[in-house]
Amino acid sequence: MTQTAEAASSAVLARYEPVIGLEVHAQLLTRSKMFCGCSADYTAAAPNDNTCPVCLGLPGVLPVINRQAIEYAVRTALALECEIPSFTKFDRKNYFYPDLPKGYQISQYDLPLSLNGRLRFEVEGEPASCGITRVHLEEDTGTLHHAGDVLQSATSSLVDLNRCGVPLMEIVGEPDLRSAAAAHEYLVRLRQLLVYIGVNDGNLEKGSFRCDANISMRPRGASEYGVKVEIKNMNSFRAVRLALEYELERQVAVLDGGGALTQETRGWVEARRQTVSQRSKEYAHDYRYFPEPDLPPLRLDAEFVDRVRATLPELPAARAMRFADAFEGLVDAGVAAKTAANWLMGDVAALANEHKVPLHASGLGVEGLRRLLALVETGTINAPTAKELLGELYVSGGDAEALVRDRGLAQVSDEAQLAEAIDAAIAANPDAAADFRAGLEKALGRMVGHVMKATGNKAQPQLVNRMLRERLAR
Amino acid sequence: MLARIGLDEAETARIGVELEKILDHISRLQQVDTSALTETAQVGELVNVMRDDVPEPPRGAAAALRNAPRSDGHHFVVGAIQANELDA
Amino acid sequence: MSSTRSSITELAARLRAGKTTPQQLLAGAMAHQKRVEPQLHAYLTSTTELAEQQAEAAALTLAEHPDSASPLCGIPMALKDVLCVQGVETTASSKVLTGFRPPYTATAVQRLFDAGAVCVGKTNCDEFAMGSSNENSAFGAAGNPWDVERVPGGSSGGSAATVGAGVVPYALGTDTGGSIRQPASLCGVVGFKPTYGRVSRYGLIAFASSLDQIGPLALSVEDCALVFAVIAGHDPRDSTSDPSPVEDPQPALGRGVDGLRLGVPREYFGAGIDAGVRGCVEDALHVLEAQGARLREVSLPSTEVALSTYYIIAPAECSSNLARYDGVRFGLREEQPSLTDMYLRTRAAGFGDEVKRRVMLGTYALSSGYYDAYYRQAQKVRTLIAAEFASVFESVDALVSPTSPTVAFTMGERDDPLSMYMCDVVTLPANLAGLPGISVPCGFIDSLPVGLQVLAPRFQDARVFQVANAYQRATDWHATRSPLADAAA
Repeated sequence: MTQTAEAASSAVLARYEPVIGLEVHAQLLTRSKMFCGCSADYTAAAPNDNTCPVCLGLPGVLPVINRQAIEYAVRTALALECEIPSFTKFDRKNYFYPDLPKGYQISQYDLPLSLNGRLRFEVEGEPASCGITRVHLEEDTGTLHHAGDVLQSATSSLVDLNRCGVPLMEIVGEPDLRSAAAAHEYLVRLRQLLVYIGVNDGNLEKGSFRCDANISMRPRGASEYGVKVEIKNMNSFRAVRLALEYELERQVAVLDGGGALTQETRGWVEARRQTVSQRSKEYAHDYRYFPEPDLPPLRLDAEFVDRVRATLPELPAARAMRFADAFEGLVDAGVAAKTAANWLMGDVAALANEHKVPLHASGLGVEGLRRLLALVETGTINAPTAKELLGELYVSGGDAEALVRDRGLAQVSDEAQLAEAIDAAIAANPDAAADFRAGLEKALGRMVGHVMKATGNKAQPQLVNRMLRERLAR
Repeated sequence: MLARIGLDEAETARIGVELEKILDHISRLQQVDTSALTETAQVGELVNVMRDDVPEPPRGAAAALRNAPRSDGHHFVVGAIQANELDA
Repeated sequence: MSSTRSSITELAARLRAGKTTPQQLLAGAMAHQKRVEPQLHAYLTSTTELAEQQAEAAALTLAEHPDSASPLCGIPMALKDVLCVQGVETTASSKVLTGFRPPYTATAVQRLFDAGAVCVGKTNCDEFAMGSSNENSAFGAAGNPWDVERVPGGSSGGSAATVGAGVVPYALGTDTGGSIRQPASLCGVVGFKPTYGRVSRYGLIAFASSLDQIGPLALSVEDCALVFAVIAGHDPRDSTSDPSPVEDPQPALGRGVDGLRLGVPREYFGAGIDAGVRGCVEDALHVLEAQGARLREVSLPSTEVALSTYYIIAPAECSSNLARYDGVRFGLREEQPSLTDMYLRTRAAGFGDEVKRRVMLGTYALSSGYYDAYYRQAQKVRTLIAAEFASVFESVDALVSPTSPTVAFTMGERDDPLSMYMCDVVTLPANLAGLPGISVPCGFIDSLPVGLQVLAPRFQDARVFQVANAYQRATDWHATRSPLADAAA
């Protein structure tokens, strides 16, 4: 934001108070879709390849609930401090659109999976929080591609149903946010949390984490809400912030000019840096929700919820946030999200518990962990070596690169160096060699183990594997 | 309009009269005192019917498009969508 | 050919005795079908090629494992056209599905195929199973084998007609409000609707998901039990299919009704039930009494509002189930420049009047402002209806009544939708409560068959067979041949 815009908006904020609520749709990292066995990872598939009769909505086929999706949604609800009612059900949301094959979306209406939660975060260093109205589950729609650049001039639209049926979690926030900055922090923290607990990949650009906002303005000191506008099409944190800032200024301008705001849906147009009206309230849909007769309801008893709770790293809010910060730091520094999450939730969490010292206060620190993981990433050391070093560095600190160098822990990835150990392993295990040649894949493991032992666990396992195969194939 | 069935005037009139008669008959339902009753959406006691998260090989685009009235070989094709038809 | 109107049991014995072969049975069925079809119009699609392959495979099975082969192995049969068979055109008698070839086979059908069934074709029905006369078929109504000027009933009219005409010994139908039992009654055959949840609905083109159930129409109660035993059981692809073990219906068939308490619901004999029908059914009750059954009059007071309840819930579910017929992925499409116009024209051209009425009715009942008064109220009355059945079943073991208020009526006679809806007044309460029920022939009025309905508590499908078979063993109505069955050369 430019200096002048900032000044203008702070003048505005002296008179009006924005009321903002966010709705997030997050795809779940299940292996299969919500109600059928197609892959939930649809991104690499050619159009309509990742489909089956169920997600195509063909006549006569029926949905079956993916248990993992329920568990992930409950995990999220617990992380957001929600209540999990003992009874929940799916409903049909009816409307016609080409990306919705059945003519209805299986969603949840009056009895969602969870309610009344809270997300805690910080705005400019101050603790803040926002109520969570509900977290519920539904199925994603397909995607449309419009032939021609603009919708209005397109002569036809292409329907791809690869995404259709991917589990989608809707997280509805209370209208507790009072600035674009707070909305931004809320989203950043929510995304961190979802990625950290392993339910979502947090990708706004690809749309696996999507956000809509409701915003209204009221004079400072007023208790009733103003006219609410819904904003869509924001596909980055920056876009959310810019769209909200634009919208609150637009609304104030209308109000100051003596005009009246209309309840409507507006889209953020990135290129124009504007929100544009899409649909007014008269076009509001009558979705005719009713209970999905093809799916029996769910009774999530305490035992089920406790079992899911056990999969959640049990951390007080502040510590969870520090973990999330560590995660963010690692990812920003180029560590793959999955690797970061695995290490943080696995060995690092265990060490933090064991020594009662959080990562940032340990000898290792976030930066130390990053450097250690970089050594794994570049292939300098293998994972077992990194795990050994992690414990030592966590307690005593030190320079990972130096330790590797001084102790000769670098992984052996030179074929010539390994050749002798490979031959020895084959010679020492003639039965395993014969079994492998006869087609018994798992016989290879014994010889890999031999090589690893002989090299003090320093050999690069993939290389050993490949070399053994080559040797045995001769 | 919600049902997306385009009726002409004559049909609208005829079906309208028929529906009115039917609605008139089924409106007797409103006389039943149901204040103490819960709703039955489906009979039976089944709950928690779920499957394991195991992917199955998808059937592929060729199979998906086999019955399509119009396709480009990769997608289902529909006519232009007007802005006011947007549901997203 | 003498194979027409022979029961499954008889044909299975003849196959094993080497007196006939699956190929001969198939040829006989096809020949008879060819003779009667011009008058009957019971089929929408013939699956000759599939049948020939299945007959050949069945012959092999019977030759190799005559003892372990299913009694259904090598026996010709037919399927209502709402049941999907992979690669075979399946239309639900609707123009909107013209040309649709499903890439899957319904679970119930697959179980029959695995047992060696030989499928001769897909039978005519009311469009999307909505109707009680078969006149709502987009491809013209089927006729009644007792009088082809009359309706076979519906919606499984083609299935009832082809069994009644002796073309095949059994066919599958579906029953949402009486669509197996009522046509069985009108065509003089036995029709069984299983407990909701007993037979998988996977591959059944849905009309009303919480009410639909697949079941057999056959020449005898034993035959229905044989088919039921094969198609029943849990299917992980239908979340509403029940995982509890299926009780073998065979032992119940010979159990008789001595000492059994049979309830006679007063309301099922009331206004709207034809006097002749009532007389036939009362005679049937005496037959059961003579077998040792203890009859007891009972009351189901909400019967009066069951029809209204049904005509909210079924249309509401159908309005949603039929939203997928939108011209995008399969079936009919009326090309239009705009998407909305394409939807409007496709659905206007693709659906018949009754389907349109029900989709509009259901849309209305679910729409904001009307939901509470119609849909929610109906869901509550549904609770009441189920509770009344449960309460009555505390003092009786089964219920007996007429199946249809009248015998088969003349085509075109009932042009008012509401009077057509009345056809199901004594069958649809069982669907609302998910109960098993059967219709078994119990007499004739002016050479037109009358049906006796037996209902039992949920999952007591065997009890239904027990009562119906006790009645059938004491009478021979079910063995009376229709004129079209006698048309056999």
